[in-house]
Amino acid sequence: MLKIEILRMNEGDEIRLRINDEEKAFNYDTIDSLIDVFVNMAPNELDIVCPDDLELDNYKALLQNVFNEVQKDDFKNTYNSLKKSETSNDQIMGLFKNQNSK
Amino acid sequence: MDEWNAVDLHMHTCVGVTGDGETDVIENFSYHNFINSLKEYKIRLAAITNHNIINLVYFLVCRRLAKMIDTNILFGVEIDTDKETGENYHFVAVFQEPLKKCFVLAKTINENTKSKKITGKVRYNSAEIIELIKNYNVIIIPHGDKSKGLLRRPNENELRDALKKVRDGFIRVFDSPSDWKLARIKSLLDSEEYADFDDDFGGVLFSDNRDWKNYGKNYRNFYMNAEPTFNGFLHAITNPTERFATKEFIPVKRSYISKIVIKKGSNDARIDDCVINLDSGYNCIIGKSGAGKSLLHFLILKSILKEDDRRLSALKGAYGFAGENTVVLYDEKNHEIQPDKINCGVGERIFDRIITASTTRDTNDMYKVIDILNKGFKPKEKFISFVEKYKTTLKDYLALKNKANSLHKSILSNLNSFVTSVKVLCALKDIPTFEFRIPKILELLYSDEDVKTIKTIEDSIKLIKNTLSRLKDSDRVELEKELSNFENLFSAKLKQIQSKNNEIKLDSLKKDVVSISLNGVNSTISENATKKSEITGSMNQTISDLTKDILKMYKVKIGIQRFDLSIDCGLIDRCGDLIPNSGITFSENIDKRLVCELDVKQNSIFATRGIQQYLNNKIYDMSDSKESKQVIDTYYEKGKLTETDINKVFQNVDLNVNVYFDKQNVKELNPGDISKKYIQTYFENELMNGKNTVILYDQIENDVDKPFINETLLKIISEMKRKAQLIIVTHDPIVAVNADPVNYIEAIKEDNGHIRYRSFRPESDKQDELLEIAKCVDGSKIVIKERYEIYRGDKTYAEN
Repeated sequence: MLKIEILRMNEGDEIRLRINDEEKAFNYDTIDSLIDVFVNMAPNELDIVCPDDLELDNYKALLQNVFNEVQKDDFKNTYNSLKKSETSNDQIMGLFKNQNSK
Repeated sequence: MDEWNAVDLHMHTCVGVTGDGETDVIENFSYHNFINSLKEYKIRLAAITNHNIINLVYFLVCRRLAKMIDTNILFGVEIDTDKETGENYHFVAVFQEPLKKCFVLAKTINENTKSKKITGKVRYNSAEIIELIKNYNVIIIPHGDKSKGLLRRPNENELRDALKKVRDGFIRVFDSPSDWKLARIKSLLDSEEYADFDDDFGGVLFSDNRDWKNYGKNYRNFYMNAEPTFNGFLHAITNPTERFATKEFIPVKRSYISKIVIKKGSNDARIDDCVINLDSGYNCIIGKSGAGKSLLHFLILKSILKEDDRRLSALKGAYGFAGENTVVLYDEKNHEIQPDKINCGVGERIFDRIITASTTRDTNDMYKVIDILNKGFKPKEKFISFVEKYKTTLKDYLALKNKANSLHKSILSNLNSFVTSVKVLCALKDIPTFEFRIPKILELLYSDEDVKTIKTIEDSIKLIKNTLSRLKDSDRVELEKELSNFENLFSAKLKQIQSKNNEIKLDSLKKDVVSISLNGVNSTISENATKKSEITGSMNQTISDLTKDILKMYKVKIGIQRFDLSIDCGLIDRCGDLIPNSGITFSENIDKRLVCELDVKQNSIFATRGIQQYLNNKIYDMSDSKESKQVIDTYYEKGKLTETDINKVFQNVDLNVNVYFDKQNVKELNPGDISKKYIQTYFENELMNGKNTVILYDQIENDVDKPFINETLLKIISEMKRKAQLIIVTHDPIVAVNADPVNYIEAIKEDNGHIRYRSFRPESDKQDELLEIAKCVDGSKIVIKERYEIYRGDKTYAEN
């Protein structure tokens, strides 16, 4: 289960996310890492919580929608095939590095 | 990173809302199709721009996937608006903002569209658009009627015309929130000009794709020479004609430097290890004074020129310490570049050399100037040719004079002998002798020696016969036949010669017998009669020899008389174009006074050492035939016209050499005029020849004024960088910024005196590299500000 808390900081100017007790900024990098996690999760494994706040509800909806989108087979298949080629590229680079270090 | 990146800033990924509030349908969208399209067409920068709505979820997940194939996705929207005439048009807005701001923007747009949809007409008015521009970092791309789009299938000229409009501000017509710009935006929105632009141009640079199974049909093949980022795009639209192109018009370069690797060779090395990346276009080396810009220029030259190249020798002394580092250059295929394997042009500091030549008055210094302008120029070519001919003439004259001397001696000797004989004959006039004149002895047609030599041909024939035997029958027979014919012919001829010679020899023998008989008769008379008879016999020969010598002497004297030893300056002087059709000419002249007012005692044409005490200071005109002969005869008589003396003729003569720029002697021109002319001519030459694939220039702006840099130099750089790789060291902000380098190399001198280099693109997203440029190029803050004003607004670099 992944728990995401949506927080309002700095007198409401800043939105932050507490993901499994680790606080992170609401930015593109965090969303990217969340997508990487979402893609391997089961549909019922996400728990998004936020204070009773209409604006924060919108952020909650956004995260939930991202999760739902990532859960789609089309996304998962595309993501995994890219990940596979990314991994094999990394492996090739690793082999090169090992070769050079020898 | 690639130098040119495919860009598509207008693509739909989800259902949108049309201007009439209807559903804007998107076909066949799937993440699979989306990613495959990006991959297939190698799109490196794309923008998701749905119609009047923003789906942030789609944006975020597409962005994540695209990132995995190194494609940047920008956040955007396609918006409907109206001109004051009521005519509807679209524009694409692409944003660069933090996620939270995008979230707010998406919400705002979606809510606005929703409320407009209820009215049945979705239109954003000028005030709303201006609000967007005031609050967001945005690029606005007007979107015309694609069916009329100029760039639907553009040729090169059409593309360039359209891109000029981009430069005029039509892509980002909306800019910073300053009041005057808002007023300008309003007027642009309503102007006729803008309407024309909308119809003809529009956003047809990009696909506007709605069908993800047929992306290729809409793909515009549009590339950008900048980092595939929002900043890269902004940077590129400041110079759109150079920075954008459809694929077929991207300049293809070969044999250029792609990378420089510098490593320390020892602990004493002053340049730190570094890898410098270069672009195939315009690379600009910047840095504070003394940071090592020119050093890098030298290191590049050292790696690509031959060790003995003149262009290197002048610099070696200054950068001796660079030997402690190893420098390796790589080409575009990542192969190590060996010296002299790349055609490299080097712009030079010509004015310094002209100053040296003017100061030293040394012809060789002026020839160094000429060498910069024309590497193939052969100094003193005409002069050297004249001197060689003149020496040959003098040697021929010397030989003739010597012959005359020897004939003179022979005539005197024969004359003495004749006079003595006459005297003896007078004394013996009463002695009776038996006189009988024997005709002159006939001379052989061929001497015995000649006949012997001719006979060796028989041996040669034998040798050829033997050699022919090695040939195959088919080849041999014909040759043997020809040889046999020749052998017969030769044999007949030889017999004929021998027979004729034998006849003459027999005649001579007969005459000898008669002569001996006569002497025998005379000797029986008396001893005096014998003597008289002998003298009478030999006198004929003496008279004959004397006559021959006198005739020869006559001919020699005539020859001497006809000899022309004058010096024709026209055969030495020359002038002409140093570079054809450039107005750069040269002249090479001998000092006329040296020739026309030659001091016979002391001059630099002839070597007079050792005989000066026997000569007076008489002045002769060596261009005059008669006077020149008097001078040469004087030297001959004084024994100063030996072969050795002749070889020294003109040895100490130097020519006056001058270079002219548009008929004005460079020595009289100011540095600015010289440098301007040189730079212009140098690059015109490079553009014409197109042989050099790499052009280096150290501090190109030296000595030239700002109008020249602005009006001419920028144009030259712009043309040149399309044809060759340019590597220019500069302090000048216009050259460093407005000439639009694709790549910068910054020389940095650390506090400990160590030098390091780093390369970067100015449009980097990681840090504000323009700020770095502004810091190390004097006056560049203003230039950068001016350059980006239309597109970038009031950025902070100028204030920092």
